[in-house]
Amino acid sequence: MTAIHEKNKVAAPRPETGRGSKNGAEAVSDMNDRALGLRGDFPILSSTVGRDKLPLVYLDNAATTQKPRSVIDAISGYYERDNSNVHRSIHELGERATALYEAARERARLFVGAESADEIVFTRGTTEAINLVAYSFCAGLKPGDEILLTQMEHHANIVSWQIAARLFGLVVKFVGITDSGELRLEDYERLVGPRTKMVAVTQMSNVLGTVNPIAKIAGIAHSKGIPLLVDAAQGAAHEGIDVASLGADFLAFSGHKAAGPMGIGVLYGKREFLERMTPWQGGGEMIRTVTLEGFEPNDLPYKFEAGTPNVEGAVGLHAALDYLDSVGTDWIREWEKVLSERAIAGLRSIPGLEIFGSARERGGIVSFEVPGIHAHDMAAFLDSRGIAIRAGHHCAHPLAQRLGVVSTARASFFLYNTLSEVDFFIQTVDEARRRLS
Amino acid sequence: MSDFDELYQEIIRDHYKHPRNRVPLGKDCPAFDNPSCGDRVKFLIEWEGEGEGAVIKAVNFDGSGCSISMSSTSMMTELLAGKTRKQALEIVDHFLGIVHGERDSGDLEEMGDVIALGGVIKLPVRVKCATLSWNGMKRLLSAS
Ligand SMILES: Cc1ncc(COP(=O)(O)O)c(C=O)c1O
Repeated sequence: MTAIHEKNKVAAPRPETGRGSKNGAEAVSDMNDRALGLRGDFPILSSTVGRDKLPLVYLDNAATTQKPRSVIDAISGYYERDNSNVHRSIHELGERATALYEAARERARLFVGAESADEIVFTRGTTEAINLVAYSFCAGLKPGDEILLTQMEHHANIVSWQIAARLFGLVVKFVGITDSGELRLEDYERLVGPRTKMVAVTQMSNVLGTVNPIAKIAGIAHSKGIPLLVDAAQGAAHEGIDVASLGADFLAFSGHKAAGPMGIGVLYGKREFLERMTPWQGGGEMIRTVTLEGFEPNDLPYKFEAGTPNVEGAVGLHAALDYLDSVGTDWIREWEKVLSERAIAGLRSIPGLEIFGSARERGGIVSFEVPGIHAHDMAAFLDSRGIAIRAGHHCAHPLAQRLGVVSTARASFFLYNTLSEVDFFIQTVDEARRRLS
Repeated sequence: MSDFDELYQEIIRDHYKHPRNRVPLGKDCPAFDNPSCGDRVKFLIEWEGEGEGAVIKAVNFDGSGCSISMSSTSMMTELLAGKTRKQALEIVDHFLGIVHGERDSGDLEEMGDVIALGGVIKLPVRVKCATLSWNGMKRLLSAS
């Protein structure tokens, strides 16, 4: 273990609750111990970076999380024991691969709280899931119908709809955000109209860390009979997802941002909508029968899964969701809150530094800027100390324009980050400020 | 010396803090940007003389970006002063050739302060920063 990962004395954090409970500092210290223990599950976290072999401080979890040993083993085990194509091969390996693939679907059903595994479509990730809905749902709309998004969406949840708007003659509208980085909920009342056919919103902003009041938005949409799509890319592993309590009619997330592998994601869609939607891609399992005149699509969820699927990815995702549930999304949310509050307090003490977003409800993502220091230079300086953060516009141009910045630095946390990593991060940002400005 | 100091050599920091030939330029000057990070440069070339024999009196630039993109631009403007269009294009192609691995990085030796970018151009994610203004200049010189 290296210096920054050593258990540190916890410097008086704010007391959490009142009397009776364990005092705040002690609770935080226990959580830090747990995080330190969980690090052992992630082989990459004990690796070093750079010529000086510095310990890796990975704070780019919103881009992708690291993977626990159980996920890595599940994937290699699948290739060592069970690999075969699914659904078509009448032999033992074919049966095993199919069973594993369908078990992963059932696991994902449980994770999102869907009623039926038929409502779980495997995709390449969040982006593909949203594109699927944008095409297949919008193909049933009429020119002039409206899609309502927000100004804080990731490009995946903007451009998919803009493409559909071009194809089908739709109009895309946007709910604005306040200066503190929260959605202007009153905009919904103003913008939801008789022609609004879909409301889509991110569960957590990948730039501001804002956690949106999804259930409230669902209430507004549903009162007008409009379905809601939730982009849970940043929510899945950090906030937890339950489609029933969120009120989501569609929900999308990526395996790789939730301790799982890249190239696999989940689209949850309510049966009544999926059934009415037209297939998106053709080929493979999505077909029931084909003639030269046409085809008849397969049942749900296969109707939306064209071509040989990512079985390895599904197997890895299964292991990832097991892992997240074994740690507990409630715990993960609480711990990331502790980490980000500490990071925000520390960053605030750095002269001139600006933090983007101060929403009341927020998760473990903090974007900031030190005037006079370009985010790339900040990231390069942190990298030279072994700290990985992200610098750029984070695939949210409209939001960057709203904030009036081109490029911000972003630190994002996960279950394995520790208090001493946060402290080292802050200290290094301050060092960068002194050296680079 | 840490990796950072090697990458961000003193010359780079000097060009970033004290950019050469940087002046505020208006909307009508040709601009080039790197949409993936938002870095942006604009140029105004002043020529001396006529036709083939005309030489660049000065390359003025304006822009915003990281220290790699801005220092690279500042260095370029110094190199191109006094050159004909043809010579300037050769210099730009020479640099881009090195960056794209078509030429030996030792060839940076002949390029003045640009040699300080030697470490940067080995990093795939930072090449975009270092080449923004050179790609823009190439287009500008080839077009007009
Ligand atoms: C909010 C949000 N939506 C969508 C995406 C796209 O995810 P993916 O690239 O895994 O499809 C991201 C990832 O950056 C995100 O943060």
